[in-house]
Amino acid sequence: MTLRYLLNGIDDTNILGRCLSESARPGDILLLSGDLGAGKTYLTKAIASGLGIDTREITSPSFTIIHEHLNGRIPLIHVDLYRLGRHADITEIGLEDYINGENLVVIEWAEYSDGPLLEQGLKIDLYLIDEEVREVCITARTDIWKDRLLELDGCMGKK
Amino acid sequence: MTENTFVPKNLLAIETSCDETAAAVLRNGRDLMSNVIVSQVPIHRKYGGVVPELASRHQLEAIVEVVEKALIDADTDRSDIDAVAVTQGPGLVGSLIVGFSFAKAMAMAQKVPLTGVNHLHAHLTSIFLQESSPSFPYIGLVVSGGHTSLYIVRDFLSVELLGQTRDDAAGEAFDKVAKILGLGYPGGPIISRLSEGGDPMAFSYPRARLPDTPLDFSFSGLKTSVFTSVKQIQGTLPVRDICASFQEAVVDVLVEKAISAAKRYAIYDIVVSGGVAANSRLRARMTRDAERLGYRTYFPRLEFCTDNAAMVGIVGYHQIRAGMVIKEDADVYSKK
Repeated sequence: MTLRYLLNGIDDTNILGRCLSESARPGDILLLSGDLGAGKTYLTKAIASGLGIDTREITSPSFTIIHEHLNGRIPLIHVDLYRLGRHADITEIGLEDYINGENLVVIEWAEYSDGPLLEQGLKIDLYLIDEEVREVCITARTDIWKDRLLELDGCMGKK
Repeated sequence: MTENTFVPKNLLAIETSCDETAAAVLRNGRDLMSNVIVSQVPIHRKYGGVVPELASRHQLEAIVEVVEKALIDADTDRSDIDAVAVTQGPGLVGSLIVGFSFAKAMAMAQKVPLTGVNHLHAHLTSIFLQESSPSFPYIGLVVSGGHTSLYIVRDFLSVELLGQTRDDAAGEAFDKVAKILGLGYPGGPIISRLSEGGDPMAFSYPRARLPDTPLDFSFSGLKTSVFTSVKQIQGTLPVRDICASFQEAVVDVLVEKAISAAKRYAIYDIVVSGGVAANSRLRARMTRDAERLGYRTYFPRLEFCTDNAAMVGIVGYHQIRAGMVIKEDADVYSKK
């Protein structure tokens, strides 16, 4: 099951972030993919904002790979596999320790990991249409996520 | 300061916050006796900027040898070391832990005090590793792959954050633009070199001025703009023009914001450190624009711009003198 939205500028991305944060539960994994500049870090900011985290804290983890933000409604672990490249070994960066049912783990360049650990995650693909507009495809691959996507779509419909 | 203030003579400093494994011996808080760095950059270059094996594992292999070499180069012995300073954060936890655990064990075994240093504070004071240094307070700009932050540095122990990047660090933007253009790694030196033959006005890339928080930075829009402009070009890419135009956009913002901070706080010394401080266009423009307005600019020598342990020693020395010793249950931190 896939939800598809056109995001016209950052206001729309903020709404998507808020809806994702409202439906987020401890233990969730969000897998973000998309070209350089597609808005993965920005969407993470919007999610963090919904969790009550100061968005100025959210910066690209490309260099440092994992950022912990522990003072929101749910602890947010912001990960970026960019520098690990294709076939990234997520056990080596200690990511398993964070997938423990307590955190919301958001992973940029998630397609770089091909291990089974991330199969339970919600796939979010961002596409750069032009400087302002993005398209997003949100794909549920498990039954639990399918139910929750309906919730998310409801939230998006209301805003 | 109390009468009991301990003044370290031979301080061992260790840094493992990101890709480097580094150790240094600092004598009397001034004289750098040794400075050893093992970098993963050559390995990254081979793999196009990618970390083929996690830094922390590489650091675990290197740490003993790096510290031993720092002691030998300084013509000292473990028993001569009377204090240890180590980077406590921010950085990648797995990497930080390697140096931090080692430093804890070393301090405990030698029964000497241990202090935990903030990596960014260390960059801010790396300028004191050379003769010509600024006077406090000064404006400190740290620009690297992982950070772009502006501070007032009041003394060795107190710094105040004025602004920082909201998204990508400047060095990260250099690396990602190099990737977009199919250039090698690291992006900074390559773009800097190619820019020399390019026209900085060929493309008008955005400068994020951020009126609400004017001392913050943002380089994500610039990166996206370069990406979209490259996609629109048919035929041969004017790589040198793109590099020069992109570099100019980054440099403009860094120079403007550093000078604007100096103006706002009526501070006359500006120090630029971190890996991007090696960029020659940034050095030239910052020096020219600031000096024209009566500000003095300082840049660490190239070897102290990138991550190193010597700068950790500078802050560590002053922290230990101030009694800032860490407890045995202290932990590292990923973000400040």
